[in-house]
Amino acid sequence: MTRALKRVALYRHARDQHAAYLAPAFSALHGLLSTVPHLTLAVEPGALLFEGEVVHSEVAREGSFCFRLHRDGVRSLTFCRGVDLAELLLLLDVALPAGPAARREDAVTQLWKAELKSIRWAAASGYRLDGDADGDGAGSIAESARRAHQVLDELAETVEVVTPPPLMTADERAVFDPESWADLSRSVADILARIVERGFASRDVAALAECFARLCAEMVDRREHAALLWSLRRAANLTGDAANAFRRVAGELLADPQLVARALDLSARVGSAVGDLIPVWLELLPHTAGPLAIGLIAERAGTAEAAALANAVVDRVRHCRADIEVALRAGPSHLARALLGVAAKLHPALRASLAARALGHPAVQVRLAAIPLVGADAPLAIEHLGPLLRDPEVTLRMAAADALSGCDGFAEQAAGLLADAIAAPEFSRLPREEQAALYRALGRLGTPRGLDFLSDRLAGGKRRLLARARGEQDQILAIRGLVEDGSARALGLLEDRGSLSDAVGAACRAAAAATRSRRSAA
Amino acid sequence: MPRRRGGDPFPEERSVSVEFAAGFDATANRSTRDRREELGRAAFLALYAILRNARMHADDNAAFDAPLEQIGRSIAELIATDGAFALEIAPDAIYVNRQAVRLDATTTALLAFLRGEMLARGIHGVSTRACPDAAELRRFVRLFTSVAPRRTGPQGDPAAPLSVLRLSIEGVVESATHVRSHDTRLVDVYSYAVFFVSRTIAQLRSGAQALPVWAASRLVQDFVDLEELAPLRFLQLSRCKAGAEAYYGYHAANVAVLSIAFGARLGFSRVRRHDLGMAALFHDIGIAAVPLSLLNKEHQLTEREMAAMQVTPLFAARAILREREVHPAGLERARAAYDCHCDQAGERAEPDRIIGPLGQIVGICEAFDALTTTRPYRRAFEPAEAIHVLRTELRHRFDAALVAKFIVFAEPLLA
Repeated sequence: MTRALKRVALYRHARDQHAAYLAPAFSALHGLLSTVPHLTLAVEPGALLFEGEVVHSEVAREGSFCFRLHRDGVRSLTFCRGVDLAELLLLLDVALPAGPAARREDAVTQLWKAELKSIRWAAASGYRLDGDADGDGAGSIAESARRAHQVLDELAETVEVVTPPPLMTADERAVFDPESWADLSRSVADILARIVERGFASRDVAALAECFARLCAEMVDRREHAALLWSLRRAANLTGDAANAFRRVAGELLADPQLVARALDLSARVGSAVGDLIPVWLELLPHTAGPLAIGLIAERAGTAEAAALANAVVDRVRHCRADIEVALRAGPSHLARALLGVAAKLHPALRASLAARALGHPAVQVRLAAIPLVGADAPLAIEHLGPLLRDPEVTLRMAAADALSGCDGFAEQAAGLLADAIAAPEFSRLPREEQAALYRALGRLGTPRGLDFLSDRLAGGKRRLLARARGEQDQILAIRGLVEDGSARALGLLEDRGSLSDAVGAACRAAAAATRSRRSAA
Repeated sequence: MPRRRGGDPFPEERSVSVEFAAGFDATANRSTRDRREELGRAAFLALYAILRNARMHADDNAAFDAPLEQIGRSIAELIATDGAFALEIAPDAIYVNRQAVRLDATTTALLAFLRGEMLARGIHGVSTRACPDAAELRRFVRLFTSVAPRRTGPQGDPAAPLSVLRLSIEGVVESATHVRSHDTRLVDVYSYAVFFVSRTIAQLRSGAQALPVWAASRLVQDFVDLEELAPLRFLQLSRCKAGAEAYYGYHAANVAVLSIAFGARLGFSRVRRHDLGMAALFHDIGIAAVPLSLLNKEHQLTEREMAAMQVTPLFAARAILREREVHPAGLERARAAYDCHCDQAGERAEPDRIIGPLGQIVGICEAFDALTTTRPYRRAFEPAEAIHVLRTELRHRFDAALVAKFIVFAEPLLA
């Protein structure tokens, strides 16, 4: 029995295994009860005794078999013939329950409700209140006893007989009292909210908020997502003087990492049916919950929950900026991308600053996602994207060029960076598409320096021996840049074709026509 | 004096074993009661014949055929009528389905023999909710033959256990020697319930935080057990009344009694009746937030005073919910404490709020008890008058179908 109890206590969540753990003890008990009609064991805080002798001992602490039974008042257990494994399991369920204490009644009430047929128990007597009834108390008990006796004495001739059929059929009862936990919990969440809203929470606001959080945890474990969502929304929209205090305490409790993880699992299981469960949940979490959310994103790559968590993180950026920066620089790729994906809601300067951290991330995809965000802040873009124009990765170079083309406030510097990149000796070895992107980016900036550079390139620039074909290619690329520029001066350059070759001249004509029509449309 | 019954299965210390689950049939007509008594007497005589023959014959002997057939017939008919068969042997009486069987001088002598034979084996009754077949009855006979063990469990001999019959066994729980009558127990529990609620409200009023929920649970367990043992006497406890400061203690105890008994008549399970009793016991603790002077005011309340009274359901729910219990029973308590009064609490602005079933039951019982008690501002209504008020002036508060059932249930209180 001792071994069985220890195993059950150790693996109390593995309920489907408990029967197997108990089987040896049960057969021993069964054998014993074939020789005696019943077996009574006294319950001590750390032991079971048979006729004064210890037959099972354990450390007296919360969570051990005897401790809870004794603490709640159970003083003996009597096993009668006919006891079966199911009843033993029920007893264990009472003595060694899984889950928090708030989710169950006291052991005596649970045993009473279990209606065990072959396991009887005796409890410490009494419902006498602290200090017992004395003085006025004893007097009032005596008085009510006198009244009750008087009433019963008048019933001397009354005969107790058998119950007539119930006033409700089973079907009617099921309709009247469906015992729906979802309705019950939602109703209680509503009552909690009303107490707070009407200003009656007073000094109990923390206790009520804790009750609410426990209720939410229970809803998660019972997978009552609709009731949960309703309750969370109710809390989020709570009004009244104590509403913030209520939300703060509840939020701190709802930020329990295991609980949030279970809520995320529930959300993932029910999918779209759950609506904005996770966003509302995360909204209630405290400002300090950023790192928690970051940790959870890491376990949920590419899910809707990850996006919601990322939103929660950026909402708390003031309190977890350092964590975000670490995640962006060295976190898992999907975490960094999730954070960058929701960074749009941040102030541009802050967004760019954070994104600049991601430029140090080893994953190309992360850096690629960070580049446009950095580009939104011109000084940062000049500082961080210029070097990227010489990055070994072509997609990064092109993205950097594209981002630099949007640096309005620092267009000259950006143009300088782009022009230098184009003028660099290795430019000629770049893919044609990248070359075009750089020219277009330079043209898009519309700076005098850029225009001069493009004009020079269109005119043929520094010609090298045996490089006529390449010269034409550069001229064509310069034409693309001028088209992107689209200014009157660019148009003038395109129209002043001078000594260009036929092919370049034809390209200039087409480009000039396109630029002209675009300008008139504008 | 009230009739006392022996073999009380309700010991000082508690046991889960209540072999004779029963209710009451106050509306049963005389012919039904006579027939029950007739069948009970037949079963008793057949049982006597069985026990006498078992001293001499093996259980398969033909001598048992006739008495077994007789007892089988009686059981079958009683189950058809009452839904159960329960034979209880007391020192000076025999009860069949809670109804005393009148004995004459001859049968009284038989009773002594029968009781002696049964108690020698620790048996003081037998019950079933299903008709036993011939083999089951033979197994029952075997218990009284020389081959059977001297002491048995509720299912008889483990070597040949009974399948549908259940024996009521004495002596398994050590303290069963503390024999107390149901009335004594009823009075004990009721008076403690009154004291408990009064004390709890007083403690809340003086700033106590925790509710002694476990103690209340024990009280309600006793209430539910007693309701099964002596339903009519239990119900009549709700006639105890008191005014002034003692009112709320009696009121809560009475509402618990009424709710548990009404729940039983509606067919609610024991567990659900316990939930009901707990909800009822705590339904009015919100008045701890209201000054005594206001509670005892004889004249019409001012608007401000009325507003103070209206928040009591929220205070009651707060006192329960700050215990932070989220098991269904705890939640039901809070919901019912709020629901049973919420229409009085200025909550009508949200007509879509669904009142929970326990709140509806406690609400009706609460209104009935309040109406039948003298209050500082009015006299007590007679029960029949109170029923009339429930059906007329208060009809908007309650579900009409449930009130109709309550009226049927409350008939024993109208006499």
